[in-house]
Amino acid sequence: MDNLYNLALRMTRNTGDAEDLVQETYLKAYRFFSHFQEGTNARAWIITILTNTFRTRYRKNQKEPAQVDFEAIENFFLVDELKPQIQPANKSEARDDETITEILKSYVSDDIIQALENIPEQFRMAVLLSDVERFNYQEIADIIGTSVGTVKSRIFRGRKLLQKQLYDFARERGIVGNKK
Amino acid sequence: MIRCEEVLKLLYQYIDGQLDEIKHAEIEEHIKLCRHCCRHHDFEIELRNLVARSCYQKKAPESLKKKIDGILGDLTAE
Repeated sequence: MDNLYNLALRMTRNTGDAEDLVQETYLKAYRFFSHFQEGTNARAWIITILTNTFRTRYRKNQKEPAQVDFEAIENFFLVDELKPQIQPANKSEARDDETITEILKSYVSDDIIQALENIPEQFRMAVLLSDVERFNYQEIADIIGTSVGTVKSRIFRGRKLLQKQLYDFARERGIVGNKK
Repeated sequence: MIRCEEVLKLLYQYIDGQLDEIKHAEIEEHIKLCRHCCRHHDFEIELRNLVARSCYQKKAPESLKKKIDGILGDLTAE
């Protein structure tokens, strides 16, 4: 249940709705259990219920951030943006794994969660089902009821949007300057 | 040999294991040989792990677990 609760929290973005969502998911799973095909993935099945319930019940109440410019993020790479800041020119021989660790160390869990919550729901969902739940593209397509192509595009854009958010946090904190 | 530009475009599909064998092998080899693309690859993997870790920090409240157990218990008893 902890797993479902965390996913519900990321979707609804607040504890009250997350608890209601988990409760409703369990009830529906119980009621529809006869529809569950044995031998299929039970975790995917219950997450499909959670996702559908979220979309029908809570989507209307969600305030979504303004639309985003996808062309601007298509070639956005957080590691390229932050590397020069983390690794000054005079230390250019630093190992890449150290640079990566340094960049990621500058973010705490709450930053990641905040960044996720800031990106539009359809992209957030794709990232959660992929990066957190580790479903493959076909499984995600089945869960959210869309094509594999759409899943591919949402995961790509979702991860880019997340990196852009993380970059903005770094800039707000003065880790990187206001360039461009 | 496959170009960096194409590797970076397909990097997510590569990481997610969604490419055909030939494309996958091409990119795998490129990443082994190219420091630039290797850095991108490693960063994406680490970031993905960080996202996963960050999202699993909370335990479902005991009150919620009890409530659901109670409801399901009642239903089963019916």
